[in-house]
Amino acid sequence: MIIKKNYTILAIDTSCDETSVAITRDDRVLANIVASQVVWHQEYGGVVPNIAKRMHQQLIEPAIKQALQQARIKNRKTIDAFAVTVGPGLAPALEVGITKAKKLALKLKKPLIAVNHMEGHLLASLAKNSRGNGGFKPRFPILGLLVSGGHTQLVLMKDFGDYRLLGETLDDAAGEAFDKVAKMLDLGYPGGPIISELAKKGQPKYDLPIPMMRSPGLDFSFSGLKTACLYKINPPAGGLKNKIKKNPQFYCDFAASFEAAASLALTVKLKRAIKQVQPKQIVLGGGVINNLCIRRETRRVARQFGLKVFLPYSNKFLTDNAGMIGVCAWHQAKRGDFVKDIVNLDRLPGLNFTAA
Amino acid sequence: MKIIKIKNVNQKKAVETAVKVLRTGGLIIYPTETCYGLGVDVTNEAAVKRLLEFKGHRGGKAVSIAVADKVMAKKYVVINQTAENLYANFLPGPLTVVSQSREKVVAALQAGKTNLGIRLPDYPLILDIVRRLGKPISATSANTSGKKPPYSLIDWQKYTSKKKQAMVDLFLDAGVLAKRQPSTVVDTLLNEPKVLRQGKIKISSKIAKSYVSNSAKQTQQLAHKIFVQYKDIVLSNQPLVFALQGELGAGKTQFAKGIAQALEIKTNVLSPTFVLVREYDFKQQKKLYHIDAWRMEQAEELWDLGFKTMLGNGNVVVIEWLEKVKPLLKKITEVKIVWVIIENLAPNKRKISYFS
Repeated sequence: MIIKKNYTILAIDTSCDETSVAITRDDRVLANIVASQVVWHQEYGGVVPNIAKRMHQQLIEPAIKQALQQARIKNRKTIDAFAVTVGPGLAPALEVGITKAKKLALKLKKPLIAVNHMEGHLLASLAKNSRGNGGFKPRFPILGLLVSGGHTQLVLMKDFGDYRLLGETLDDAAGEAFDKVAKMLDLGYPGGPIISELAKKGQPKYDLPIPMMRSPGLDFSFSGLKTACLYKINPPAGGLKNKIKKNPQFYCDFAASFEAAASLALTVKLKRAIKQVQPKQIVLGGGVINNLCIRRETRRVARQFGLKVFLPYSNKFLTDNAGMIGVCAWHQAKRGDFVKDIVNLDRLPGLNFTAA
Repeated sequence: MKIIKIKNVNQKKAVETAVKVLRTGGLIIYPTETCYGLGVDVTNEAAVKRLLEFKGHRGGKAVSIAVADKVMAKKYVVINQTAENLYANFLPGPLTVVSQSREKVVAALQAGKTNLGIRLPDYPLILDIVRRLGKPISATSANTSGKKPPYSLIDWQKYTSKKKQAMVDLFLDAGVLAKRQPSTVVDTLLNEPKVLRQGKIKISSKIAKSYVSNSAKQTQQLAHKIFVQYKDIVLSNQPLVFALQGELGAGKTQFAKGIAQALEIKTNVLSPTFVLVREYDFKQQKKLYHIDAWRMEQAEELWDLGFKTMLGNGNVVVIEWLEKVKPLLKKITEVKIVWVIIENLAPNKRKISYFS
């Protein structure tokens, strides 16, 4: 299907914690508003109570307004299509975005595009800024490694719209393991970024098991690594007798050890997947990719096979955001993938890629 | 006898006066969430003697003691696992837990020489008094032997002889109390907890059955086994809730996996930490909801997640990190809740206790 040039999309993502609205024009992102990162003006009622944060309701309209303003769009009728995340995610949160997008599309009589949040992460590296910089030219097949607080997946991309799930976590997501280990060390929530920071000054001197190292296949597991960390930090009665002395260096060394184990758990499977599907390119996505050790190790493995690793032009596209949803929606529009029955569009909290 | 009418303004004064009377070995009458109680310093031989004299001939019946918190309770009795479970789930509240005495109170209060009943009243004024006194006070109804428990000052004056009335030094008058049954009394020193007196709180005889698991796989199998005992509830289209308590890495998600297996759910059950709730379909269009309250800030968020809908016909709900939502769950009386406690005994060794 051929769509017009400068195809403008208003995209909404309310898959979990963040209320995000973006305006994209083809693969260029003109505005990418993430509500939690915005200081709200008094006109929006000041601070949003915690309980309502996840419910998105109070945030969505202000976020839309701000996105339009930033993209300098005065008339909503100039938008060519609306896009919204339908899953995976938290059902009542998804509902808010979907309801809003339906309303807008019906009212303005524009097409609606239903987006898989994980496909959004997969295509996030293709996003360009408003001047058209960033992104890369895809050469299929592409192998995607998506690592976030809620997901850990290896996805094969044979073409736009043609994806296979090669492997995923069987229990906890990698990002969750970061947060939970941070909790064990009393570092607060979200602890992932703190672990990464501490790890810079530490040595990986603690011996931690690498989950699923020897198991065949491309699935991950981070629950066992989490538990192994627990035993090291707080040995249960009858367990290890030598309690570790917890000085500042311990925190740094432990963070480095955990980071190394988590990176290896990811790259062992990445390597195996590369051998199996022989991709031409590698893309990374998800908030945990902010971790420099994981990036470095991924690049090292890719280099062994002469492959290049692609990342989004800005770290903002790694964590949940609607910009990637807009870019993904543009590719869907090009293949005519619009919602046929807007009124009955339903949320799909358990949505996933087709298994290989 | 001095009478202080309890109002919001004079609470501090009331506490001070009561503590002063107790310190000098006096008798006080105080309001609780059940009837009016009679209090003396339980370590004061003379005070206890006066208390027993007031109560009259009772055939060697024991007198429970009121503590301010579990820490104080632990100084006076040995709290075993059964008791631990009861404290975690019902206290403060109208429940007297009988444990082995550390013999730090006047012997006449104990039953069978070494058993002592502990009460943690759900009445802040009394907790304040006990805290200020720094030790427990007696917790027995303020009536003399054979008379009915009093719910008001007038009540008490009507059924207590002038001579006995004169023995009391202070009456904290909170007006007419709601006619709630006296506390349920449970003996925790036997293999199975035994209800000695039935009050409002109903304790199932199945309480705190426990198993030991030696692996994640076994935790799944035990969950399956426990589910089977409650299968009829689901079959008869009633909602069933499993509320899981246990630290990081205890195997809560493994338990949920076991429940999913019992429901013949083929999809892999992943940790719901990031997304807060995951849902799975099983037979006859029923759903399994797997909730994780770890990231919740307030218990009420459970309603925002659609908890009411989740408690629909024949659905099964598994909640991790129940500590955060316990007060809310405790208010739900019409739904069968199975409380599950998973403890780390040693690496790979877990004790799984449950009751409903």
